Amino acid sequence: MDWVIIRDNAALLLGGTVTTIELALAAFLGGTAIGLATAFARLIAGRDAELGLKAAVDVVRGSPLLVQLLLVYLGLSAIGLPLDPFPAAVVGLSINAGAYLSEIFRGGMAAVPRGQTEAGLAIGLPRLYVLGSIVLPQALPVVVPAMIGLFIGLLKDTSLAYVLGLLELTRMGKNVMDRTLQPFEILIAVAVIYFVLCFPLSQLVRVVDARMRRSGLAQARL
Amino acid sequence: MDVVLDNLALFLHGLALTLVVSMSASLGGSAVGLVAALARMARAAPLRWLATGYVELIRNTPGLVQLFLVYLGLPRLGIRFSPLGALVTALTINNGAYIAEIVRGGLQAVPRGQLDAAASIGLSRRFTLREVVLPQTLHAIHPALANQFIQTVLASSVGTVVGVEELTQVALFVESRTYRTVEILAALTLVYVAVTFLLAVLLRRLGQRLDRGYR
Repeated sequence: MDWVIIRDNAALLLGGTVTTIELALAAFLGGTAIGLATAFARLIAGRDAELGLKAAVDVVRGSPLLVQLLLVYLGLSAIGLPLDPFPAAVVGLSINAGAYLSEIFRGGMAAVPRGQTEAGLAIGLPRLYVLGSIVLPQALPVVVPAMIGLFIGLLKDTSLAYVLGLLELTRMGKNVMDRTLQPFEILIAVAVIYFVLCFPLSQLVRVVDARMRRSGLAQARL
Repeated sequence: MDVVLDNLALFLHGLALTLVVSMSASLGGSAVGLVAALARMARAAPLRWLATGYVELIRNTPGLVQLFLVYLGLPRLGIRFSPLGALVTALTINNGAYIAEIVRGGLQAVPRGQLDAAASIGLSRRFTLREVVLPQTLHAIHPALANQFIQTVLASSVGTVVGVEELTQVALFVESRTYRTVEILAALTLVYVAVTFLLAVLLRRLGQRLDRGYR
């Protein structure tokens, strides 16, 4: 075992780690925006629009993220709208996360008693306001742990941006491996970095989930 | 779509490999997951630690890195895989950790009274597990298991990174020869959507059959 190799390449691996975190954060923001918009639109829209949005969500959830990333990167460039790997990865990951997040938001809001919506509408509040300021806040105890879980998923999924040649942690690790010909040590280091990023968050999900359940905020849990 | 039809044989070959890989990794992962879940509830503490370590390590690292570890890392320890063997192994190990959590949740959902009742009529521990606990566990978890199997089909697309000729790899190969990028990737997406949809329907039917004994 040659662990010096890790120390020698630590700066590169940390650089890749920063890109990975930036990618996950950007896609989390983009995905939350897409997810909220989709969830609200599905609750407000008419039947046809609802069916169209459901189909779109099902297509994203029914196909591999890897293919979606390639479709954004290669597809856009084929129709004359080339994107750099980083923005392409953010767009692909955001669309993917958005589909899953919209289901998280919808599920959480469906768990809030109907009477809340009816009461809000009965006193003449606009529908969007009722959903955004009355229903959604009450759904948060169900939604927040699921959102942290999704962010952990995003941190791991950013590794697929490897196929776009983006120098996030996995690609950076692969480059270092190809140069040093010491794949085992480098891969262990890469795996440890992902673990250090993800494990505390997965413990946080457990704590937040337990606390919200104990305080009875999430009695209507699905 | 003519570009897909012209290369239909290739695509069908890729689809077949995707299905074989996903099925192997689902079955293998279920076996690993069951063992790991039981180990996490074992009396011997080291067994519990080992199983917990496995589950947490796998669930907190990317599948692609696990695939690289199997394919590029293990040769250091004298273990060599073909690309296909590495993909099935990595997906099985990955699935095993997620399925272990699913099974653990299901095992915990079996009421304690069931165990007490079984013990009071003199059933052995092993018999109780096999005939009382596991059937009720399966009843509780089959929707989550079905979802995990579907995720496996999608995850198998990482095989393209190590050159396994599954569906995505075949599509990229045809793309590189024809430059019909948008059509091919759109068709590829739709094929995955169709496969996962059909699989979901099939698994739901199977699940309903399982549920028949439970009202």
